[in-house]
Amino acid sequence: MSLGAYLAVSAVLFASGLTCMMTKRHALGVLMGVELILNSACLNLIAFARYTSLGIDGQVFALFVIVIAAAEAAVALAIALNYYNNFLTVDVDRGDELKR
Amino acid sequence: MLAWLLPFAGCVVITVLRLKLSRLSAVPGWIGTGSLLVAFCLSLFSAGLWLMTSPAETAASSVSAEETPGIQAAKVGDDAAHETGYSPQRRLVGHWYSLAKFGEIDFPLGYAIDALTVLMFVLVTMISLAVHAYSLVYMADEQTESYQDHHLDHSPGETPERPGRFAHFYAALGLFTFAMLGIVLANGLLQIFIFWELVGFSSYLLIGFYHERRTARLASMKAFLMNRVGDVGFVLGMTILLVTCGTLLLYPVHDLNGNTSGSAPMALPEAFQAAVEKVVPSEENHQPTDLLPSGQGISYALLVAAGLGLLAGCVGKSAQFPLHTWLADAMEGPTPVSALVHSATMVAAGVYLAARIAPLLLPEALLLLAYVGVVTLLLGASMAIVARDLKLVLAHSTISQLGLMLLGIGVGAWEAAIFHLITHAFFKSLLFLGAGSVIHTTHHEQDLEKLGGLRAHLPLTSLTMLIGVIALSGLAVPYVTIFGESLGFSGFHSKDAIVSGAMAFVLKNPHHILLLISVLLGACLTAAYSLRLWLKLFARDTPVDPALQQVHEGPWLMTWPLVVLAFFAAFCALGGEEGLVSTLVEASLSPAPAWFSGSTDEVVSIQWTNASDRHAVHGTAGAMALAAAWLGALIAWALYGLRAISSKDLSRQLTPLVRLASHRWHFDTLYRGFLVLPILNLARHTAWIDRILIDPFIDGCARFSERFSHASQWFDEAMINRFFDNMASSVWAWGLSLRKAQTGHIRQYVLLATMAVIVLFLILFAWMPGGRAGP
Repeated sequence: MSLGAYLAVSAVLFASGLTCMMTKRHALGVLMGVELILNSACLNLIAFARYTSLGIDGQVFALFVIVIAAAEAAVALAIALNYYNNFLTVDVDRGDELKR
Repeated sequence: MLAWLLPFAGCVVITVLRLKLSRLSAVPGWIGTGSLLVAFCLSLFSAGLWLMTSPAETAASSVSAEETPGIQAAKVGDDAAHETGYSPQRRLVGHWYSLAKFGEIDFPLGYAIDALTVLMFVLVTMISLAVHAYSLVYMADEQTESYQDHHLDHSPGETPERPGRFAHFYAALGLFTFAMLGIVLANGLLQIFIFWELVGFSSYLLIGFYHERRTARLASMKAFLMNRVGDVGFVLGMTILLVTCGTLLLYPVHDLNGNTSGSAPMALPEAFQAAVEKVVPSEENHQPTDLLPSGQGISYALLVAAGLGLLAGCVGKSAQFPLHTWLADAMEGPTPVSALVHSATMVAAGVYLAARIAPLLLPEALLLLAYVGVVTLLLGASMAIVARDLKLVLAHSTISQLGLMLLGIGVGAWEAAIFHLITHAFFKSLLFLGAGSVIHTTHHEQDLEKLGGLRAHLPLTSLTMLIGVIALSGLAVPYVTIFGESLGFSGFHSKDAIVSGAMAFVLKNPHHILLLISVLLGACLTAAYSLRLWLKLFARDTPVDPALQQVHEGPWLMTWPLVVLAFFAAFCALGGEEGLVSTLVEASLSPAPAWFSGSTDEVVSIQWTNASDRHAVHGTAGAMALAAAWLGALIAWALYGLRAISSKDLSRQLTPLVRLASHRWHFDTLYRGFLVLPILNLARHTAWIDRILIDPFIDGCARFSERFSHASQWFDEAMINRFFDNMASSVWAWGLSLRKAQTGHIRQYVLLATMAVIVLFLILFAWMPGGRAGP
């Protein structure tokens, strides 16, 4: 296994996360896309840590990303819940209140 | 200290309460009287303490030296008094508060308590208490919603009515007492000046108490302005002293052990002496410029001017020639006010100050003061003898007695002057309150020709006023002594003291013999007019006017003050110059400055006297004064008592003199012609200039600025507002157009962001050369 393979998997993950974000109208679907993107970035970091001179720094950074992702998920789920409370739906396209 | 503050507190309380109390209430009067009573008790208590501590002080044992300051500090009752102590003259001096400090010059608020202060405290609070109590009755008709003033000149058919001002009266009275005590207590001319003005102001309030009457308004204004004339001199004198001596304190501040602290500034007397010594030798050497450093050019004349300036203040306050005319007009106020303010205390403030600053006065100033006193003495006496108004007689008599006191100061006998001040305060307030009693019961009848024969109806008043009259005229039974005392009332002793002072002075300086003659003439006149007053009022058994049959004595609140004052008028000077009061006075005044040591002064060639000289001639002087007084009394008796000589014939013989005196020597006319009318004319012309020149100019300015503002308003609206409106609307339109980009669809944003990143990458790889390094 070489660095290129890891990067390819990471790229695929990234692309699918992005696609998920762009195409899903369900709020939780969008959140899953975000998680995929974050994890692809994580995988990148680990791969660089393993195969280049980045060393332990990359792994520490990956830990940080995981922690932040957890926090983000908590906040985002809370937002989604409130969103549902206010609009009785989780369709992100219906939430254009700020425009008015 | 507390005694000092209480009248003020009373005043404040009354002022506050008068808003809430009904006008019918007598409560303000009781508050004022009560606070005065407590103040009087306190000052009596402190006087007792003072007397008790004084032998201990003379013993000078170490124990008592430690104890007495403690007692005194307790008496002061003021922990803030951090600097207390003794001077050789037993004086308690300290600071409360520094009013301002300009470089080296400090203006502290402090106090200087010595025997004289304590004495004056007792005096002022006692007379004020008597007047307060008396006024409870006298002013009782003010306790009403609609007071009818019968003296008010009004158009017929209209009854003048006004709300009563009982509380107002007591507030002003309390304020006055506070201010007077402040003068007595003050250390330093500036502080004296502050209270001096306060006294003047409260006097203004009290004279103008019936301010619906035109005469009262004019009188209060006149008194105020006349006092201002004197005060200009006072301020000038203070300024000169401040420049030359660098301080306005009368006495140095001591610490507890009696040592002046190192940084304590020199008090005024020492500094002044230093200034004089700096100047006087220079005149002898005829090289004044050498000895005076540049920028500090003090000349002898300037120092004399300082004394004269301060004296001008005294002359104004004490109603001396040529500023005496206000006092007679001040009788427009209620009679108790006349008793307190215009006979016993306020006018005495001038004499008090003159005695306090006497060491600062150079011989020229003193000589002038003596002659001013003599002129006033004779003028006042002559006016009193022809006056028809009851109160006017007393007012003129006050003027002339104050003249006598200033004469005493002028000839160097200032203990005698203060002595006379104290006795005079007692018997003159007694006389005024007696007169008030007559006026009150006869429904404001003041004309001596209409009054008369009241003895049967007013026995107590007539008796007490007789005591006052005898004290005022200085009568005594010659060559009779009881228990080693000469048989005379207080006025006899104090007047003797002044006459002997004048006599000693004249013996040393024979070319000023006029002073002595005038004093004796004045004593003669005094006896004559005071006896005339009494005989006119009370002699014969039945009233002249049948309308006076119903008069009767007032209630006890009116009579008791009379009795108490009569007691003091009779006996306060017991023992003469060796007595208690006189000794206290002597113990507190400054010793004579250097130029009084008997040396001949170069400038006016006067030989000054000292106490032993005065004592030597005391017997002769007393006899002469007594003879003069008896002569005057006999004349009065002959004229008005026995009617042996018709007084009308006599006055016809002396028509020009009488007419002159009864027109008050035309001083009012003179002042009106020379001062008042020109000033009024000047005012009228100034007003004319104002209207003709300045008003149009100001109007033009206003009109121009109005036009200008109109123009600028047009410019604002047309140009500036439009510009900003256009700018704002264009910004608004731009914002609206930008708004369309914000759809609010998150997925759209994500798509856009992704596309932007892809485009950026493409741009990066297309343009960056190193980016082509592919795998």
